Formats: sequence, C-alpha cells, structure tokens
Amino acid sequence: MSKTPVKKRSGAAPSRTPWIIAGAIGVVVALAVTVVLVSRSGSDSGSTGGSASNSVPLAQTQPVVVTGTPLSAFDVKQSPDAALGKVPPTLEGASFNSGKVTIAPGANSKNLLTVFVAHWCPHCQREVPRLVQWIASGQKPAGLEVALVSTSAQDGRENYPPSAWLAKENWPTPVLVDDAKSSAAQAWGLSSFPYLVLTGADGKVLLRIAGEIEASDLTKAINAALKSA
Amino acid sequence: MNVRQVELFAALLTVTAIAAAVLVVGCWLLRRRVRMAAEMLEAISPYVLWLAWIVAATMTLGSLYFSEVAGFVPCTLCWYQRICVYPLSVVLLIAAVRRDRLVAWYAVPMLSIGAGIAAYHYTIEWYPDLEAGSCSATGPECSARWFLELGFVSLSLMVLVGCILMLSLLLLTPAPNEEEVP
Repeated sequence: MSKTPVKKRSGAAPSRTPWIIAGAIGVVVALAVTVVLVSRSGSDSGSTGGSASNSVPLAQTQPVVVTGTPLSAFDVKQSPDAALGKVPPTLEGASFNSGKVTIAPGANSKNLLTVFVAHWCPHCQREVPRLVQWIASGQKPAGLEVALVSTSAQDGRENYPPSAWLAKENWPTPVLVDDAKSSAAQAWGLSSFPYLVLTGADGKVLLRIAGEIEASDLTKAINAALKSA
Repeated sequence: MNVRQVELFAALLTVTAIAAAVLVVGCWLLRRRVRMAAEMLEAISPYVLWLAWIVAATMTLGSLYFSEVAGFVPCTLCWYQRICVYPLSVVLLIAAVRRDRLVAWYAVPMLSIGAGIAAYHYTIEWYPDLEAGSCSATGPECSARWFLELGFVSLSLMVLVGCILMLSLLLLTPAPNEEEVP
C-alpha cells in the first residue's frame, strides 16, 4: 500500500482524449435531444392525465369540510384500539369531477367500510385491485357499503394522478377527494396507508386496519367485528 | 428542462451506463479470446479514473437536483447510498489528478456497499411487502418510488447502475503499470 501513484508514460500512442471527450459530449447531446423530442411528442398528444372526457381537467385535491371530533391516530400496536366505539367526523367534499360526496357514518343506518389510499403508495397500488375484486366477486359482506378517500396526492410522484389510477382500476364506489393538507385522513386518524375503517349502523368505529390485507382476511375481520358489535 | 424532462434524461443516462458497464464487463470476459476486447480495455485504461469521477459527480449532482430542486425527500436507504457515493465525487477527482489507481482500495468497498443497498432498495420497490405492509403517512417510504421511467428506471436503479459501472471501471481495466493494481 506504500506504492506511489503511477507516473505519466512517455512515448505513448497518440492521445485518444479528444475522441473520448467528443464521444461523451455526443452521447449527452443525443440523450438531451431525445428527451426534448419525447417531451414534445408527449405534450402534443394533449394528455390531461386522467380526465374522463379529455376536456374537463379533474381535480386531484378538493376542499373537505370535517364535522365532528377527530379520531385518535391509529396505532397498530395499541390493543384495544382507542377509537373503537367513537363516531368519526363527517366528511363533506367532492369527487374528482367535483360531484358532491359525503361520508357520514351511521347516517343511513348501514355498515360502512371507508378506505383511504395514496396513489404513490405501493401497498395501496396492490390493495386497490384486491378490493375491487373483493367487491366484484361478492366476498364483501352483504349490506356493507364501501367508500374510498383519495388522499395525500402529490403531483410529480409515481402513479399520479390518482383519478387516472382509480379509473384504470375500475374502482366501483364513491370517491371523496381529500384536500392538499389531507384533512380528512388526519381527522380519521390515518397513520399509514392503506387505511380501512369499519363503522357500524350506529356510526361507531368497529375496526381499523392499516396496511395490505388479503380479501379473505378482510372478510373474516369485518364479519368478526360486525358480530361482536 | 423541467423535472419530468430531467427524470427522462437521467433514465437515458442510466441506460447508457448499463451499456457501458456491459461493454466493460464483456471486454474483460473476452480479453483473452478476442484481441479487440483486450485492446479496448487498454485504450480506456488511462482514462478510467476520470470516467469513474464523471459517473460519481453526475450521480452526486443528480441526487442533489432531485432532492433540492425537484423536492424529492430522500428516504433512509437513499441516505445510506448517498453516504457511499457523495465522497467519491471528491476522492476520485483527487485520484484522477494524481493518477492514483490505488484509490480502488478505498472506492471499491464503498461502491460495493452502495451497490448492495441500492440493489435491496430496487428490490423492495418491486416487492414492497419484503420491507413492510404499509406506507407511513409521515415520512418518505423506501418502497415508494418518486418516479419510474422507461418502465424500469427508478432512482435506486440509477445508483445501482452507477456503482456497478464505477466498480467495473476500477476493477476490470488494466492499470498502466501492472504492479500498481490493488
């Protein structure tokens, strides 16, 4: 390890340095030109990123009115869950196309599963098609309503916009779009994604789940919670 | 260039780096059978330290652009990879100026660690349940990608490819003086 650095060789072949530098610059320029051409062709196509009609841009965040007492932040290690028996706040807002959406647990005396997802979360990307299949296949307990809240939307992150993602996944139930501060998610005690909250016919929390869950396990968990209510 | 264009440019640079690494490794594997392969390794040998420094400097500048300009908050694994790569943008420059191939003794361990972390990072991006079952709402999630270009290029793959390219340059090209090869 005590050797000195290599000395410059004398009598070497003609320098290739100019060619190497020219080649490197050529590669970088070619890549930059490619980027410009691809970007132009992308903008020429007029993609609106999830607009259903390709004419009306969809809002990826919407104002939300939260009414009621917020739930405590969900801690999976805490048992029993401190939010059990509490009524979550009512959420009044809009869908991606600005249609009015209200999530009011207990308002119509039905059990309700509210699902919170973020478009950039890989676990949500895996859970949403699982839930779509769960609903379509009839594994969902009878009489249970399902609502989805699209929250934590961030332009520039993967899988943006969430409207296009949920449309691609054929999400079948009402979607409430959270605001830029994720007010709805915070009010319902979200600490990680995906986040599922089961409320009973009286509006009280029966079960909270954070993270991916298999369809069969979800059905079992919901049935057990409904049975114990 | 906007952020989206920089992402694409970085992805194309990554593909170029993959091709370069494959070329170097291929030449090394064929150096005894194909004369041209051996000559190619000999040809790039005097420039290896500068080439490796260019890769390290590009990675460092790119990383700083994505975090400080684009606003992509680095996750824990990103920080570990930064620890491995950032110092090399200075160390390899000094080595290139001094023509010191012995820098491989310092650079190769750091690059190997960086490549290992990046490989794990890239893996959990595709198989997120290997790390956890949910995404934290408060902090950057290691399994959540900021972007995916060309269907497979993410930030962690850029680090992995950069580290492998530098490793192949430092380890597989002959030193001007064989006695100096670490």
